[in-house]
Amino acid sequence: MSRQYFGVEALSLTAAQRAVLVAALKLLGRDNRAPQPSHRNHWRVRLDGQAVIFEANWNTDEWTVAGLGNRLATLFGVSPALVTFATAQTVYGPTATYTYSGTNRLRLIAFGGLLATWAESHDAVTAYLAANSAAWESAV
Amino acid sequence: MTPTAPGGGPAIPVYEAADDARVSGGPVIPVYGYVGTPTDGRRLQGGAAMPVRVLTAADLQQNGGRYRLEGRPVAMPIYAARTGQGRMGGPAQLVYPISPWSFYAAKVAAIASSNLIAYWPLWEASGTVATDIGGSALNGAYTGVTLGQQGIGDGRTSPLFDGANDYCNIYSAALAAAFNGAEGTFVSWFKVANAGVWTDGAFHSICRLQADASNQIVIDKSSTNNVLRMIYTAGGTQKISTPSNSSTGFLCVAMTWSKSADQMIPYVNGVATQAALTGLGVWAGALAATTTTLGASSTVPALVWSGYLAHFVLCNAALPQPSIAQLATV
Repeated sequence: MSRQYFGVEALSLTAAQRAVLVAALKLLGRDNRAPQPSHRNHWRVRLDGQAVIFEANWNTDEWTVAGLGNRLATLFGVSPALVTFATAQTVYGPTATYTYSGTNRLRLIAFGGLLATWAESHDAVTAYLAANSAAWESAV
Repeated sequence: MTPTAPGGGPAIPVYEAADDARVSGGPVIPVYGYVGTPTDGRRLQGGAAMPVRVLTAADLQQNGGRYRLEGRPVAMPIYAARTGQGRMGGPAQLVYPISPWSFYAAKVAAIASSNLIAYWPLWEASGTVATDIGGSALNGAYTGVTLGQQGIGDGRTSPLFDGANDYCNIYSAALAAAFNGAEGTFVSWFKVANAGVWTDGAFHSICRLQADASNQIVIDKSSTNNVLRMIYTAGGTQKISTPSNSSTGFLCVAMTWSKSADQMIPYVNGVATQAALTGLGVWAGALAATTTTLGASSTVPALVWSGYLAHFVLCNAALPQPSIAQLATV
């Protein structure tokens, strides 16, 4: 179990596919009835609706690269083997970009790293938000 | 414990309610309330009954077993009735626990009760309900915050907002109906998570009460280093104060607005940060469901607060400076 921040960004999903995926991701988390609100799955949506940052106490298998690939395959109704991914490292944490039928569909980022502490993940996500405030912050 | 009277009047000895005793000394004050067997509803002294609700088991449980009385429309702040050593203060209209840890809340009761719309202490230890103890149950809802963190020094706790995706949504249709955009006071306490928040180049919202962009009340940390913003916008006419600050301790920020007096006054720690701003516009519209929030500017959430928030008081009249000054001390 770990508590950290994960982000998903739709690169080429229909609105309906995006809605189904996000609805499924909102159900993740192992302590969604915890007395401490910070332990429950909660999220923030990018202004354009194309990306979401989740935070919760997660089960260890909920945010695996393969697991998200399987969810994506389900969305497209295809074999998971047809959804490929490529990983990369960014200053905010590792990413996995998923491809289906020659098109990048979704990007996953584990803020601070897959084994990050909450503090490390928090530092990474706040740095990311500060660097991308135009996309994430509403007018003031 | 040596309680003090919040209302400024003479102290009045109060016996423990369980004693079924009468209040002695001074004027007779009828008080209901009996902890332990709440259904008894015994009163301490006869005379005209005040509409004071008897405690329920749920009330006691929510308050860690401490006593709680509710008085509407008139009640007295009562301290430490459990010990029989308490005293009463001036008139109040508030629900609050009677314990050594509630003096600040009792002060709010004594000062703001006749104008109180809602009072969210944010001192919950668990759960997602930000309870309004102002008597109208205009409860808010926490998302993502870490409860039970350091408080303002009143012996209670406050929530930590992570600066990423935490907020407290206080919108309700009842709050929207009760809110007065033309006359009001907003008081709250805040503390940045660390000194770097003051210089991180981002906006961080302490609260936003918004009908639309032309009618809103905003208190936040500006994207400019070491600057707060207190904004009152009505009918598209914006009045803004931008005092400097870089404190890493708890601060009390307040704003009063009065169309009838044509002035908005911003305060930090009980002191007006500048002369009253005049030329207020005419507020129009009801508070919106997604932009009536504490610790963020919206339920997205955007402009998330990074640090601690406590004791939000919302009134339907502009409190005078001496009252604001009193609310700025624990």
